[in-house]
Amino acid sequence: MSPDVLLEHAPLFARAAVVTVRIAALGILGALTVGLVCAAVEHFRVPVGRQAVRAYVELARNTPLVVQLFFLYFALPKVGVVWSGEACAIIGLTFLGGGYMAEALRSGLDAVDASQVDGALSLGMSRGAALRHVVLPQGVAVAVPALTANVIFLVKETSVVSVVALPDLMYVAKDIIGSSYDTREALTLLVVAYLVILLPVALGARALEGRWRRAGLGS
Amino acid sequence: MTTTTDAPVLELRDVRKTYPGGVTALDGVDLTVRRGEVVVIVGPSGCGKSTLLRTVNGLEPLTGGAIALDGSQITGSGTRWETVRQRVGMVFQSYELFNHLTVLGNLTLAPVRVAGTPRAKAERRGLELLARVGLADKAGSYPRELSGGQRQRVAIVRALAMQPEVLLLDEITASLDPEMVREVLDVVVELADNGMTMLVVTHEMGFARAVADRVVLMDRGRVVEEAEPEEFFTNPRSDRARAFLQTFTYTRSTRRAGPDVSAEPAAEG
Amino acid sequence: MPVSGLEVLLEGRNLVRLLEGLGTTVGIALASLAVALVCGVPLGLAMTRRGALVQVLTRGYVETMRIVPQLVLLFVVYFDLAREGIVSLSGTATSVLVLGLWGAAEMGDLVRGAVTSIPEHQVDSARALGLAPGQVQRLVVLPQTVRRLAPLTVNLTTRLVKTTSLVVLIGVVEVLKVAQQIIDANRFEHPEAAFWVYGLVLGLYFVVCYPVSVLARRLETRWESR
Ligand SMILES: Nc1ncnc2c1ncn2[C@@H]1O[C@H](COP(=O)(O)OP(=O)(O)O)[C@@H](O)[C@H]1O
Ligand SMILES: [Mg+2]
Repeated sequence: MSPDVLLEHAPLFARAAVVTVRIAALGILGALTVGLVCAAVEHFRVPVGRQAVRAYVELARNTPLVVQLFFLYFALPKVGVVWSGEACAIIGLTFLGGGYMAEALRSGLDAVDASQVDGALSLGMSRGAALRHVVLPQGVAVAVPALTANVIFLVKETSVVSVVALPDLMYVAKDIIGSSYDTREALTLLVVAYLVILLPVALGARALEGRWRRAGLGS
Repeated sequence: MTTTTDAPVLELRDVRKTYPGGVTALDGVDLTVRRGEVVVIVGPSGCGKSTLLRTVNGLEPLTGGAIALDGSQITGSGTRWETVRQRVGMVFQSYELFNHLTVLGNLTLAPVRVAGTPRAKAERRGLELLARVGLADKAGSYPRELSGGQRQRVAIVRALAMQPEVLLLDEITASLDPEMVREVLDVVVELADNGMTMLVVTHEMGFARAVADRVVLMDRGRVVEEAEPEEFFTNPRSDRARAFLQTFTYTRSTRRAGPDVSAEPAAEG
Repeated sequence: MPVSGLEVLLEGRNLVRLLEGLGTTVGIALASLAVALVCGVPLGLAMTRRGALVQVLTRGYVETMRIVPQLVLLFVVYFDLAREGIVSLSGTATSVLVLGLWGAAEMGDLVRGAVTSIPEHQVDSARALGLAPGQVQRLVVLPQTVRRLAPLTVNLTTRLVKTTSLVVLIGVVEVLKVAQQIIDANRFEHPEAAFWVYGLVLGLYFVVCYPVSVLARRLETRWESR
C-alpha cells in the first residue's frame, strides 16, 4: 500500500464524506420528526391514525433500505413520482428511520407512569402542559439509548445510497476499485472515512446517555 | 383543631362513581368539609377512599351527584378543572415527583407555568417552603437522590406552592419505611395547626386520632360512620366501625402445633 | 393504479425466478445465522470473564464489527482478501463469512447482556438452597438466560435477512438482482414493470421478516410477564 496513492485519493473521499454526512444528517432529522409524530399518535391511541402508523412502522422495520431505495428511485417514477437521487436517499432514510424512531419514542412515552399526569394535573396544569413539561421530557430521556443506537444505525445504513447514483463514500471506493489497481488504498480510505464519521457519533452518543442518566432518570 | 369556622369549603352531595368496567366505587357519598377543618377518611382497602379524593380533584368524572367548592358547583360540563385544581392541592401515595426536575424545579414548575409567577419569586417561595420542612439543602437534588420520607415532604410542599385552599392527602405514608412515617406526619400536623383545610385518607390510626377534627368511616362506597376522633376510637357507634378498628389490633387467631414443613432434602444430582 | 406491466410477473418463469432469488437471500441469511450462533455464543460467554486480555480482544472485535457499516465489511473482504488472491471466495461465500462474523459480534453482545442481566441474588439464593455450582448454572442461570436470549436471537434473524439484501452489491444473484434482470429484459416492451417487480420484492421481504418480528415480540412479552 503506497502513501502517495492514499494521499492522491484522499481529497475524493473527503468530498464524498460530505455527501454521506449531509444525507445522514437530513435523513436522521426527518426520521426523528416522523418518529415523534407517529409515537404521539400511538401513545394517545388516535383512532385510525394509530392503525395507519402501526402499518407504516411494521413496513419500515421489516424491509431493507436497499429495496426501499430501489422502489423509490426506480419504481415510483413509473407512476409519475420522480425524485432526484439525493431526495430519494433522504426520503428513504426518513422512511426507514421514522419507523425505528417511532418505536423508540413510543416505548419511552409509554414508560412514563400515567399517574405522573395525575401529579401534573393536580397542580393545575393542562393536559398539553403535562405532556410538554412532564411526560415528554421523561419519555425522551428513557428513549435516549434507543435513539442514539438508531442514529448510529442510520449513519451506517447511509452506506447504501450509492445505489441511487449518489457520489458518496461507497460510490467513490467502487469507482477507484473499478478503474485502477489501488484497491487496498481505496478500501483503507473507505474504512478510515467511516471511522472518522462514526467514532465521534458513537462517543457523543455515549456521553449523551451518561448525561441523561445523571440527570436522575431511568431507575 | 384551631380555626374551624362554619363556612363549608367542600360540599359533596350524593356523589356516585361507577367505573367503565362496572365497579361502583362511590355509592352516594355526602360529606361537608368546613374551613380550617381536618377530616380524616378511614376504611378498608377498596372501599372508595382514593376515588373520592380523585373526584374532588376532577381526576375521575362523577357518574352522579355534585361537588361544590366555596359554595359554587365544580362538577358539570362547564368546569375549568385547571382553575379548580389550583385551589385544591393533592398529594399521592407514590409522591409523583417529576424525576427529570430538581426538587426546586418540582416546586416551581406549576407556579411558573400555570400561575404565571415570576421565576425568581417562585424560587424564593419554593426555598422558604423547603426550609419549613427541613429540606432547604436538597433544593438542587433530584428526586431519586432523596429518601421516601424526603420525597413525600417535597410532594407536600409542591402542592403548597400553589397556595391551595384545600389539601387532599391520599395515604401519603403508605409507601414509606416505618422510620420515615413520622417526619411526614409531623409536617401534616403542623399544617393542621396552622389552619389548613384538609381531607386526609390514612391507615395510621394514631395519626388520625391526633390530627382529625372529624373521622369518617367508609365502606363499600358509602359513609357508614362520622364522629369526633375521641368518640370514634374509644366508643364507636356502629358494628362496622368496631370491626374495622379490631383489624388494627393483632391477635393470634389459633395456636397450632409446631410447623409441619419438615425439610426432606429433594433428591437431586 | 392502472399501470401496465403487471403481466411481466406472470410471464414465463419470472415469478419462480424471483422466489428462487428470495431463497438464495434466505439461505445466505440462515447460513450466516449458523455462523453467528456457533461463534457468537462462546464469544459472549468469554466477554463475561474478567481477564484483561480477554476483555480487550473480545470487546475490540465486537466494537469494530459493530461500528463499521456491514457493506464496508463486505467490500473489504470481497475486493481485497478475495480478489488479491489471499483467499479465493465467491460472492456467496464472502457474504456468509462476513455476515456470519458480523452476526457473531451482535450475538456475542446479546449473550453477554443476557448473562450479566441475571441478578446476583438469583445465584445467591440458589446456593443458599444447597445447589452445587454446576446445578446453579444448569437449573437457575441457564434457563433464565435462554428466556432473555430467545426473543433477541429471533430479532437478530430478521436483521440478518434484511442485511443480506446488501450482497447484491458484491454481485451475488439474489432476489433484487433477479428483479433487475427481469426489468432489464422487459425494458422496451414493459417499461413500467419496474413498479410491480420492485413492489413485489419489497412485499417478499416483508412477508419473510414480519412473521419473525411478531414471533420475537411474542416471546418477549410472554417471558416478560412471568
Ligand atoms: N381506574 C379504575 N378502574 C376501575 N376500577 C377502579 C379504578 N380505580 C379503582 N377502582 C375500583 O374501585 C374501587 C375503589 O377503589 P379505591 O378508590 O382505590 O379504594 P381505596 O382507595 O379505598 O382502597 C375498588 O374496587 C377498585 O378496584
Ligand atoms: Mg387508595
